[in-house]
Amino acid sequence: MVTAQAAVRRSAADAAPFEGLRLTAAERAWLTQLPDTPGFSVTCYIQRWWRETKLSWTARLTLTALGPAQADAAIANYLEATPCPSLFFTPEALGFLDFVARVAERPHVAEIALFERALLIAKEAAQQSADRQPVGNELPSSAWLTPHPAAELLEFTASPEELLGALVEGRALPPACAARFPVLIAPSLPHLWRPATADEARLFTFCQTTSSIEGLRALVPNSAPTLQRLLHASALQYVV
Amino acid sequence: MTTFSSLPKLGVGLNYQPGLRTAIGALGDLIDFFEISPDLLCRERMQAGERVLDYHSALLDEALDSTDGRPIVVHGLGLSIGSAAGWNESYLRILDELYARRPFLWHSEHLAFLLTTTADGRPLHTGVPLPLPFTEEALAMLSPRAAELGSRYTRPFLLENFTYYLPDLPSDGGRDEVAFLNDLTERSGCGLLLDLYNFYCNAVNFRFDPYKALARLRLDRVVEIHIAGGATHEGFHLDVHSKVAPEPVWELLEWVAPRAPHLAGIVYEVLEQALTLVGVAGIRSQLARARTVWEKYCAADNRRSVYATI
Repeated sequence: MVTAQAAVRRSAADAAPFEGLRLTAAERAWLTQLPDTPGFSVTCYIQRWWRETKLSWTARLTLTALGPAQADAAIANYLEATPCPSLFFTPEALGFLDFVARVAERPHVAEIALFERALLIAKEAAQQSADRQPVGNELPSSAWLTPHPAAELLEFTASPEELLGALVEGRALPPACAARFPVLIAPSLPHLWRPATADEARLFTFCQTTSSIEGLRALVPNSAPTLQRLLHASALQYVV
Repeated sequence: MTTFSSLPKLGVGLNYQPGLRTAIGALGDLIDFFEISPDLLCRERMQAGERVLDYHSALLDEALDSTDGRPIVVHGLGLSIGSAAGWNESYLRILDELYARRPFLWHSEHLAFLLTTTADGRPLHTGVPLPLPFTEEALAMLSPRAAELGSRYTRPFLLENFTYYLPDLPSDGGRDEVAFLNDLTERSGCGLLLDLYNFYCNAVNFRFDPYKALARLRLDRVVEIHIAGGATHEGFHLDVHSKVAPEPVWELLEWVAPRAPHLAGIVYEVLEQALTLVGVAGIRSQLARARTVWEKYCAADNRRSVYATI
């Protein structure tokens, strides 16, 4: 009942969510009158307020890209569609950013939502120092590589520096163009992201199906330095 | 299990949060102990349909480093002790891990629930802690759980009274919040974390006299007191921990402190997100004022003389 009311959902099903439960007559009577009480309204307000607060703190880039009116609508639509997953910030934010990426129509919004989502995941992985594999200077040819689970390669439809700079400074976003600008997000990168080179994008993509270093070197000549960079960034990791 | 009377008198504490680390450096002389919420140092993920908590190792290391040299106690957030389908096992796993690294003197949790199921059995997170009814059924569920938590680490387990807004909570035999807390501590052996701001909010929101209520409460079960300040919304006082404690809460503290013989610590609670509102100076004022009360009523030398006059 709290979840439905906080999401401002109105439906016949929500009106009697305790049908089928084993309740005493007194319990049923209490539940029936509860939604009309100010205390219930405040409880629902608190739930909604905390969910909105979590999103305002963790999805700032995406909310900025949406603009105030569309941001409010996106949050309202998300809360209506999605029960609270957790008190934690990240699960709520990930759910919201997935939602926006699916439904966004304005240019750049979906890619910014996916970017912000990837940043959150990389940040959490960066705080789990136990996850980091040691990376030596040698690349054993027999070793196999796979993407780090918290790493992502995304494409922007405008220069990432221009796009993100416009977001941060409150300027109009640059127009989308036909060109694609690959961006690497990984837990060991300074600031967790940077533009990816063409070789980095190609090698990271090849590794989506686990690949041997020997095979990667055959596909992309002189790829050793690039592979080293990707390993040190925790974009790729050895298959153990 | 350690009895309450054998607990050391810690003094005045602050709830540790990562965002308060810089403030802690400026407040060190006023903090006798820290209260840690292990959940705040974790990430939560779903694994095979189950909630799993993992420490952010950097955050845990920082927490232990920042609180080094002073005792710690624990105040959990995500146990959901009141969930009918069972509590959050993952919370106990992180508590075990914390205890192994740094034994705490006591641990506490909220008398509420966060996890439930939909009518068709799907897991559901309430998104806001919800209260339990004051019923025999609730007591029968909670008492063994609280008893188990009291013996898990051979350290006292405390339950914190909770701010709630739902009116006319079901009860058996006219039992109210105070009677429920008394019955729960009696049956389970657990102690009380008396949150005076929560108690004050409930008294205002539901229009009862907090002093008359406190006079009925088993104050000999009170091990820790929380003080805090919050916000109001549509006439309700909310448990938000975003401000300094209001005067009525300080007055309640002055009344309770000399009457709680096993009180071992007073904690000022503030959200790290409220640091810009309260400020380091504000936190300092709260800790200093709590210390005045502590030294007047609770410091070991004073307790015997105070009890002689009540």
